[in-house]
Amino acid sequence: MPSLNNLFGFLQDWISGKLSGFLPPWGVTLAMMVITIVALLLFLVVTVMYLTYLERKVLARIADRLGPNRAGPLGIAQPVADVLKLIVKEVIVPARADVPVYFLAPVVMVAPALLPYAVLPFGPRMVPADISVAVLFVPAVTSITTLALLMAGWGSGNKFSLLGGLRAVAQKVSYSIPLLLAFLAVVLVSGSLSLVRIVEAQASYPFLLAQPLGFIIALICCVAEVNRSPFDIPEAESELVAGYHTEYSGVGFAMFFLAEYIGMFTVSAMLAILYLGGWHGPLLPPYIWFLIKVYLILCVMFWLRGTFPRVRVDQLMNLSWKVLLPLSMVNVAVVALVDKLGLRLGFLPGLVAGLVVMAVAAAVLRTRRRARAAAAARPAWQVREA
Amino acid sequence: MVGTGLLKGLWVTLRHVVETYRQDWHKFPRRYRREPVAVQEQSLTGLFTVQYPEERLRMFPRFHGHLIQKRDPETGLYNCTACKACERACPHGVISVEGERNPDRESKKKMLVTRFTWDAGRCLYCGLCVEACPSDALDWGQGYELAVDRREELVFDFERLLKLGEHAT
Ligand code: SF4
Ligand code: SF4
Repeated sequence: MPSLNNLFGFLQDWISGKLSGFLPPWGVTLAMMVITIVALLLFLVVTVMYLTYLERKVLARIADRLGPNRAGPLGIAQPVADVLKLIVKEVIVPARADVPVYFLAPVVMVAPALLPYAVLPFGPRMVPADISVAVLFVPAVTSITTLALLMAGWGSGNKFSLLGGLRAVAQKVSYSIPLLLAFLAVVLVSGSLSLVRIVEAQASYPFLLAQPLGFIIALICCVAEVNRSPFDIPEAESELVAGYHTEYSGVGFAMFFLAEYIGMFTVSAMLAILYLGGWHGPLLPPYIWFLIKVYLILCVMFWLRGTFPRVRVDQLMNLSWKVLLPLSMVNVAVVALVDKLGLRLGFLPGLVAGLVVMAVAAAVLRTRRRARAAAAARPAWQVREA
Repeated sequence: MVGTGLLKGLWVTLRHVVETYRQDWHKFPRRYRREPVAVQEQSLTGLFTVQYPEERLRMFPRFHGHLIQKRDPETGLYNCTACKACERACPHGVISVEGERNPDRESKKKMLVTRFTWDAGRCLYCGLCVEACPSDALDWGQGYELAVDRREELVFDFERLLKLGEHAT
């Protein structure tokens, strides 16, 4: 099993060993970088193709359907057909488009979506660059896509696109804050900003147990960050046609699509690394465990999409600023307190504190909702008197 | 509790997913290899998808698919007596019947049908002809794959209706 557990490490050693025969050391490093990048890109493109397939299958099952089933056995060739169709489609530039911005937007969208893979650890030794501030790096580079969404909305010269872009910016900015606060709690628990260190710190128990509240906040924020249903208001079909990518066809649209699904994979990987213990798991090789956890979270995202209707803009903002932000602050405060007291009780204090906070928050929300309902039920003349 | 509605919704969708697999289990390899499955029963839970050319739904008895001409199961003779009741009942003039006296006086069949045509292309599928038939000859069949290449083929003659009747029963 050691060879299987460390397959990629061995491959790396083997290839660099072969290369060092005829290349100077800097050449080997360069070649290894190129090989890693190409391998990651291939992996990502194939993953995205089949994520669309998986998503359609899961959504179909939720709706009592079978999903794609015509192209190839089980519809397995459907993503290939979709990609071919998108590539051969004509690229139409709207008459009122701001052309340079219009064409730059998809590129600005895809490039930062790829950057997090430089630091995401797929397994021990399976991380291209183990930088010491990876927890900050990933949200930092992925938030550049916000700019791309605004560029796409502006460049299209279309009011629906512009509205979609503006909504996207508002949403991403609002949800980044509770997301980062939730991540901060994990950083406090593990004592490191490096993703590899954080995974290594979860050898005995995944941080999901110590951070139940943090996980829920992070999950909600991640779904909102990548504009997935029920938070897909930047591309709400019934209101904005297709939001910021209304005017894109062919390859431009394909790039947005690619970036969106890579983004989904990224946030799922982040959640798996920070809360589910990354590559840790019995029996199977580490990278398999990592992928299982990532796909689990992806399936939960599909599940959410198949279940919930889209929220309104005001509900979206209320959820972020009035519920998630205070909760994540309380979460960080509790974690910091436990850390300061130096209790060595494993995940127990975190778990108990998280559950208590959740219960209190639910109770508060409930009384407020009751009060609102009572106010709404009161006849108008009573309200005037009061 | 806040959030129970959300959990309830998730539970509903999860149940639907599980249900689609549970119902599908006994069709497992066949259905997914898209091999012909002759007919499929309708169900209220589980998968609704019918992979049409390979799978077909069995239609319910009152389904108006196409007309058929029935035979007496004992004698094998057709029931139609060329009484033209269906022709008169048809609001669209779609059926036309012609008959003659059976030259064989001993036979039980007093009237022979010489010509019976039903133009499916102009039929309303109202069923008044079936209601009108006094001899339990005309009835509905449940077939639904009636597309043809030429318009003339939409006119069904007596032989064809009798044949459809044999398949239907
Ligand atoms: S179904 Fe109605 S329209 Fe068609 S043949 Fe019978 S009576 Fe005429
Ligand atoms: S089908 Fe029925 S109604 Fe029509 S001619 Fe024959 S016996 Fe009479």
